[in-house]
Amino acid sequence: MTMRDLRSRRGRRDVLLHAMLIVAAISTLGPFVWIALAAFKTQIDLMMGRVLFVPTLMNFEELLFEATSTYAVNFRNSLFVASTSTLIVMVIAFLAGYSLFRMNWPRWVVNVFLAWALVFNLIPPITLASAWYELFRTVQLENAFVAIVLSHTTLHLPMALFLLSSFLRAVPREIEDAAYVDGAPIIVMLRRIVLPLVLPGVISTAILVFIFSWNEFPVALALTSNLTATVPVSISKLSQFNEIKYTQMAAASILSAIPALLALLFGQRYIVRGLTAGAVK
Amino acid sequence: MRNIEGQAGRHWWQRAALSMRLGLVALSLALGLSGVATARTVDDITLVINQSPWLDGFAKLVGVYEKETGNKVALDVNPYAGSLEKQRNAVRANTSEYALLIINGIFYAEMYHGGFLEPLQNIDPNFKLDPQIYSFDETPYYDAAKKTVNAKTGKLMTVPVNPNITLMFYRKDLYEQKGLKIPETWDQLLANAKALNDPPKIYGIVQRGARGAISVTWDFFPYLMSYGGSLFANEKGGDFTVTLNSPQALAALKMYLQLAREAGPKNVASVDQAEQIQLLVTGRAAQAVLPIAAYAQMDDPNKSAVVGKIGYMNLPHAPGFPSAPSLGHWLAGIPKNITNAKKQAALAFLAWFQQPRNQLKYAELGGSPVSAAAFESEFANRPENRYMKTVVRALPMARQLWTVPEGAQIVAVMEVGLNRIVAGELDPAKGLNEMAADIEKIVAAAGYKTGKLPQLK
Amino acid sequence: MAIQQYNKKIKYVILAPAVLFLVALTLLPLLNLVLVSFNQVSWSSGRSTWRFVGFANYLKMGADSLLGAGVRNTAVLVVVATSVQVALGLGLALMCSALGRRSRLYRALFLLPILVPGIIIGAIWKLMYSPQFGVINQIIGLLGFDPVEWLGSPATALGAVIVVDIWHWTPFTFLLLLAAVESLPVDVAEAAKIDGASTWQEFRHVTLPMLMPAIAATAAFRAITASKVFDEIFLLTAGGPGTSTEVISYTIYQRMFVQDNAGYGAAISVALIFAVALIIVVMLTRRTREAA
Repeated sequence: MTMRDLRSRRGRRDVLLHAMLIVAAISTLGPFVWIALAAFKTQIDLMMGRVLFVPTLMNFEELLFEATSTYAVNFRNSLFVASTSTLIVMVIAFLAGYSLFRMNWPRWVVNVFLAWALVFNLIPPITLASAWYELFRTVQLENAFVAIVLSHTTLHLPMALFLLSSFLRAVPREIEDAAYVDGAPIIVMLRRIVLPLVLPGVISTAILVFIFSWNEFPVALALTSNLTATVPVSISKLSQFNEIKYTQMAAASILSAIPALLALLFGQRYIVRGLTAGAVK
Repeated sequence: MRNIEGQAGRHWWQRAALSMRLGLVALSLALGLSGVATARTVDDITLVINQSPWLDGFAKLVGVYEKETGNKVALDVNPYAGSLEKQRNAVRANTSEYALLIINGIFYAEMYHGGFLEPLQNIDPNFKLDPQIYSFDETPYYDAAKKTVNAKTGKLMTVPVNPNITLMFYRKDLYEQKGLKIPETWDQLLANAKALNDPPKIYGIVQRGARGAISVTWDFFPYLMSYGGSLFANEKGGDFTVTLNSPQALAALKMYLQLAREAGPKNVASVDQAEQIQLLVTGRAAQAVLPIAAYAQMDDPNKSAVVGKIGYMNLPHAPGFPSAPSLGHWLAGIPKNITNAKKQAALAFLAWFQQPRNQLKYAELGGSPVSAAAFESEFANRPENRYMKTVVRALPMARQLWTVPEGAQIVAVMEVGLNRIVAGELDPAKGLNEMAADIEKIVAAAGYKTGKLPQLK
Repeated sequence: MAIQQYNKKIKYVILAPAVLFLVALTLLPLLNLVLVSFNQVSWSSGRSTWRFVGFANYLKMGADSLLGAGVRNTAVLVVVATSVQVALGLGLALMCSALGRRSRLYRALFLLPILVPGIIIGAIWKLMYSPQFGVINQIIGLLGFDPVEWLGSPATALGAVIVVDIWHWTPFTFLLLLAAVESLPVDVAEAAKIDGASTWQEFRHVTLPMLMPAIAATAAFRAITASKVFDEIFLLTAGGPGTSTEVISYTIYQRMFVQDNAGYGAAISVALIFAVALIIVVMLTRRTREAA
């Protein structure tokens, strides 16, 4: 096999890959494009299914500037709640995960944690919402940011633990043993050696936790009032008992996708092969 | 006084505590008196309400109240989904964060039966519902002994804030074009619908046959009741014999199905309210039974292709019985688990709200008045308010669906049953029999006096 | 020596915050749920009365027609949706990884659906499926077919919901499996290539086994969260038409919250948790035995 053969083989493979990816991208993107277009339509244009229409910004205007709309405030709140709870979740999950999966706990302890993580996800979120509302109400904190941040942390901690487990388990033992021998304290080793190795997993999990927290509805509804409410609560107000404001919903979903999209584009750089290359050597 | 001294005097700290208590009482009296002497200010209150097209008007009206009286009312606006859970959480806690609850006419029964609301005359014995406020089928009154809604024997629990009843929205331009007359009976409506039916361009009538939280049931009840049928034999009198599988109910159901088959879209079993409105505003349906809250979309050029073409008529009925539009109204109640001061403040707002002049102002601000003062005024004569004239005729006839908190279980049975009948999966007579049997079980298990009718053939 | 002692203690210290959160904020609600399931809760005069009914709530489950349909539909949805999502996610992840940095745009695109809040997904897809207005039927019409009542006919409703679920959640499996693929040691794959192994052989015997833990974890997690599916059903079909899209969490929602039958709803939840926990325990012990 000459280099030229290899290169043309790669070339053909790449074309095929691109073709398949483009098909997948179109089907993923289709509904999204539809939502994006809907955001610039009037409601009647949307319902008549008009392909040609006069774009308008009124949905965004109503969403952001109408007197009874609190979307802008809710957007800020969501940013705060999602970022904070994600940060807390990742720190706790990373530390706990390392302890559980790399530090010689008996098998049953690890299994209990994993099983708990899965089982916990089966509890209907609304039930948790009511339970937490009662809990925080006894200390008069039911509408404070503390309540919703702590609740979101608790909601997503098990998932983060579970997802990190497979990444942490894949870290080669030799690396840690080498660090141990060097006499490094655990925290330093975690930061300098383990973290870079599991960075793709950590970043992906963090992105998912951020997105889940951002989109979470039942707990947010129960634990917030108008001024502390998050984006999903705000959007759900567009689905009223006699009218679903589709076009405003579309506008809201475009706006609300921006932070997560940014987090994604930023975090993507770390989900790249090659970080592990050469580590063992 | 002797007991207090006897108990308190024994230990020095008890005496100290007593003096502190007396001191606090004196202080608050002084403050209270000074408060009374200056302005008529009451506690700040928070009110929980739904997002709706009338919210703007309501918010503006609250603004007027605050300016006139100096009292503060904060609005906590909730989405419709989840509003029940939020209010439940509030009334079941030790203290409610809301002093005023805007309760839906569908789940108000739970609030009444659970004993969560303070009877308004407990707060102020002289408080009465303004005579110009419509009665809404006696739903503001509750008789705890008989566990039913009854204006004569019950106590006043709530003030209506929103008259969301159903009317028949129709294309008056098409009626004029084809020379059709406003129908009085269902048979006449059927004839009109068939005349207008021209699928797939336009359907004669589009009904709400989808299964939902309360969807097809709400659509069917006006038919049921205007044929002389009912869910229970005599709910207000306490007789909960299930009468859903009566010959009248079957006749009503057959008419419902006939309209669907002969003048409606094929997928009636999955048409919900949003789709009904969609079909109407895009000109694909000629008639639909909708709550008046939907009127705002009809004449908005951004939301409708039939601006100015929609008229409103009362629901038809079977000969010999009155029309029976369904009530989906909203009531304002005051929870028990708040301080007396807050209860007074909440009642002060309601007392102001129900005054005729404020009701009229409410209408002018784009809200949804509940008083004849607004509906029978000059305001109702404006062309954009043409729905009001129809509402005036409909309100005295509006009927609630049920008053028992088991309503949630009952509607679950009826939603599935009616939806399956509309979809053609279940025979009408058999379906009614099955639903009646299930409902009788539910009601009997809850301890009501009940029975059942012989099976329909 | 000091370092080793320090390291030993650290093991507990860094696990402690997680344990604290989980115990304080999850154990209590779960216990409450179990307790409630053995009672009938009713409210009057603003107070709650708990009436102990033993296993009555659990026994009622057998007679609940909605629940039977719910279990069936949930099982179908979980199995079909999860398998498709994992397969698609893996395929897309491998393709993107193979293209390296040039796939950056695709990666962002494939992640978009999960950014949309559940409420909007329901509303928007409902509109898209609409027989009269939906864009899907418009496209089918262009191809010459009659419009289909996707959400309106029992035969297609569940399938339509599954499609929405797949669209919404494939980004989840894609992201996780992408990270797993990118975490594979490069040298092993290179070695296999030089040996002359074909791509498929390399995949089956080298890559796939290494990815197995991640695939299993992703599939397990996705299956669990899929069994909780609620948003899509609530907004698209409300369990209809008839009971063709009734799922367990929707039944729980109706019984527990709409009908305010807290005891019975809790019983269903606990039974579901118990059933799934059992499956998990069985699978974990099997894996432990294999690993040993």
